[in-house]
Amino acid sequence: MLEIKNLVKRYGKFTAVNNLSLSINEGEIFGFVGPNGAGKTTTMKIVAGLLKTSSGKVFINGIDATAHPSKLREKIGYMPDFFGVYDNLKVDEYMDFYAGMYKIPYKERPTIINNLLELVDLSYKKDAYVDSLSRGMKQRLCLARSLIHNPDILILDEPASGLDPRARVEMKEVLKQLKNLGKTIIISSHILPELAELCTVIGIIENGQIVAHGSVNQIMQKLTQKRVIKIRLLDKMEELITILKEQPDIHDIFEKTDEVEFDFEGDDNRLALLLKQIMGKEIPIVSFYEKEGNLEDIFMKITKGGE
Amino acid sequence: MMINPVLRLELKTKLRTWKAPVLLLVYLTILAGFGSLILLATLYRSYDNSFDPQDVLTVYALLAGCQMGLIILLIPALTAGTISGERERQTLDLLLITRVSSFSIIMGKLIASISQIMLLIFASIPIFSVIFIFGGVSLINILLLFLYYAVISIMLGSIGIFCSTYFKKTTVATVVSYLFILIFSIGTLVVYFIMQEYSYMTGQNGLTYLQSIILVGGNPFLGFISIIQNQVGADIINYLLNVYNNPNNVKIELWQFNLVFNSVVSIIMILLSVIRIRPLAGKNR
Repeated sequence: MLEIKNLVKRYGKFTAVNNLSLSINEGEIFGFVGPNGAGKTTTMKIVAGLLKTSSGKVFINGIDATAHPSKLREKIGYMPDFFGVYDNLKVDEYMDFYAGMYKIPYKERPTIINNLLELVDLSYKKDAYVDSLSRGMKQRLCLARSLIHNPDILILDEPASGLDPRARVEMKEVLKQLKNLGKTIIISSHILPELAELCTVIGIIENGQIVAHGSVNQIMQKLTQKRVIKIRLLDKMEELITILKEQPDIHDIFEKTDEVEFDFEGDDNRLALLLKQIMGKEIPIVSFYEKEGNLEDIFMKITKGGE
Repeated sequence: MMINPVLRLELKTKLRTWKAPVLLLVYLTILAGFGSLILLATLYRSYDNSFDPQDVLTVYALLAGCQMGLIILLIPALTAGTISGERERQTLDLLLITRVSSFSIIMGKLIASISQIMLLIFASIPIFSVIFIFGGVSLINILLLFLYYAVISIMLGSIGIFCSTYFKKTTVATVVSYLFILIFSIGTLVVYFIMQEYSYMTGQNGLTYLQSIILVGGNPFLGFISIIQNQVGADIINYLLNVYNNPNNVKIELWQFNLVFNSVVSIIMILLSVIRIRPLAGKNR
């Protein structure tokens, strides 16, 4: 469906996207993750036909998007990370304007607009002025706008940025519905947990290059061969640290005031023995548990902190 | 048939606010006020309290000049923010990814701005009609004058839009648009006087009519005076244009040259604007 081959984008001496190759299949929800300035927005703008490549190609359904952007306009819906709205325009007029921009016949517009406003839960705001909407509502309206021409591919650049928790949940609900509609979605975020449950595939980008690519589980497995154990205790921290340091399969001990975290390479039997040994020294343990690896940890491990 | 959606949007949002009627009110007040003053001053002479119908032509010329000045002042303000405003509002990308071409976007913006000026011009017809009461100015004269207004509006509008596509900030685009007007109105005159002086200094007979027309052909004010002087039977700029030094026997009048020049500039500016905003064309839209 979408293939990016050896994409390079330079701004003077700065290389924003560096030989990036990707392939996204139909119906996939691709999470594009990376720190700010990693090249996500640049890549998305190139795919949307808004930026020229320095070299490399983008193919959509086999058509070279860099050579024929106008042919692909109706196939792509794009929602930028930052966008504005017009003053003195009502919600349904805003939608009608973009329907006109995609040359949708007048008589088809009311049904399409009503359905989309319903999808993003803005039907009740149909007659409100666009500039009076809250940030979350504007984001949802922009999402509805990007769907006005029923595109096959949706490119959503940070759709949940700047939203309060409730608005984030609402946005996520809309995206779930789009997933059910079978749209191919490329969604970017610099906050990983937001994407984890939505995406079928994620790609982690840093310094303009993909550093990890695959399903969420694949990436997790690849990166979490070590187990992270966390112990919370009331006292005797020094004694605990001495025990931990004696163990051959424990690395990277990280000590906080009442907590210790470390990487553990052994199996469950070794873990049980370790706990027994600690308890034998009568160290007042409050909790002893294996920390679940999450996407945020993966992200922090893979990227070297480009922010 | 589908109306250009950009034009539709612009008209809808521009005419919906209080700004549109206020602009119309202020414009007509200035024009009517100015018209009344000169009508009173010209028609009723203080020394003999008499009325000379010939003076109606002076009223017409001054009124037309006032309108010309207002148009020239308003157009950059109306057009220089059209594209840069979209950029500042972060809505330009959303327009460029649609199926409507860059040409339609530019034309929609231009026609919307020109329509606003046309609304002012048409609304001024009743003020001009006062002159008909006294006679002396034919309908053809007024139509020709209004055609000139339209062409000048399109030319200055296309320059405003070009500046708007070229400069990221509306304020810069507006200033540069006014600079363009200064270059056209005063710059051309400066070049003309230098060339005229150079011609005398090198022992020649001054510039010919053709050379003068080419040098000041882009000057909207002189073009306007050229129309008006024909209509009121005056001789205001004939000496400036070296009408009596015409060895090539050129028949074209300054305003005719001006109309052609303006049309060519408009086309060039529109095309440059289209190229400038076309996605994938420039590096820093």
